[in-house]
Amino acid sequence: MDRTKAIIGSGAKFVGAISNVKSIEIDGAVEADLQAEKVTIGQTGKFTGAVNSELVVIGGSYDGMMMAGSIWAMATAHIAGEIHYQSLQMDRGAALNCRVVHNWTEETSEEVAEENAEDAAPEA
Amino acid sequence: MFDNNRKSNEEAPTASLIDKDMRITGSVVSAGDIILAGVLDGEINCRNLVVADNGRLNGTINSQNTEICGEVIGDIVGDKLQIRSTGRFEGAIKVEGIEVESGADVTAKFKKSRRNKRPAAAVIVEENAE
Repeated sequence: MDRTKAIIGSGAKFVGAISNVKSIEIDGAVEADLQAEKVTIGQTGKFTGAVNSELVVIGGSYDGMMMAGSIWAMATAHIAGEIHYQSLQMDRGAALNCRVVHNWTEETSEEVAEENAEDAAPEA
Repeated sequence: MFDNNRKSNEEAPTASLIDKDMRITGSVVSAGDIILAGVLDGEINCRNLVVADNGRLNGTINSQNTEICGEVIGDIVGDKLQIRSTGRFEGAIKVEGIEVESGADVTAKFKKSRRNKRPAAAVIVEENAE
């Protein structure tokens, strides 16, 4: 029981809010708002709702607003809604029917601003 | 339950583990087993439920077999209920078989469960809710 991993088994249906999770694996159906360090949506998993997480691995279907550091969409993934990410990996076959937004961190936006300034300088 | 359940027919329902530190508000319906080590406010509907030592549940349980090692405040409907010595229970019990270990903290109202006429478990919950 000391494992810091929660599992929503296949055949289970959760409705509500889930919080204070480190790592969660979802193989059932979940309609919830979720905040976690790591989220895995298994092939049989179906998640509807907002996710805020460092790492999200999607093998099932997702619909909602996702804010994530890294997203890995596996070949069996179906994603709808809106995803915000800092890094994204997509396997061949993953279905994304959603808004995809790259989250600028302060660091990256400064880098881009500098690059733009360097590009613009010679023209001036 | 699934829209995309091409595979789930062959797969046996697996157990769900609600980790300690985890907090859920809402309802959980499962064809399989649930181990609750975290905190749940709401309703659980499943086959086998284990409320672990650290687990806490506020709400209603509708489960064939229930084992309580943690804390439950609410009502239970089902077939079998076991309350372990570390368990704490407050509420109403409507089950066919009850086992309470010595040391358990139980404050409960027992309701009669008609063995032969007992309707489906889901129906009982609705009656209680009214």
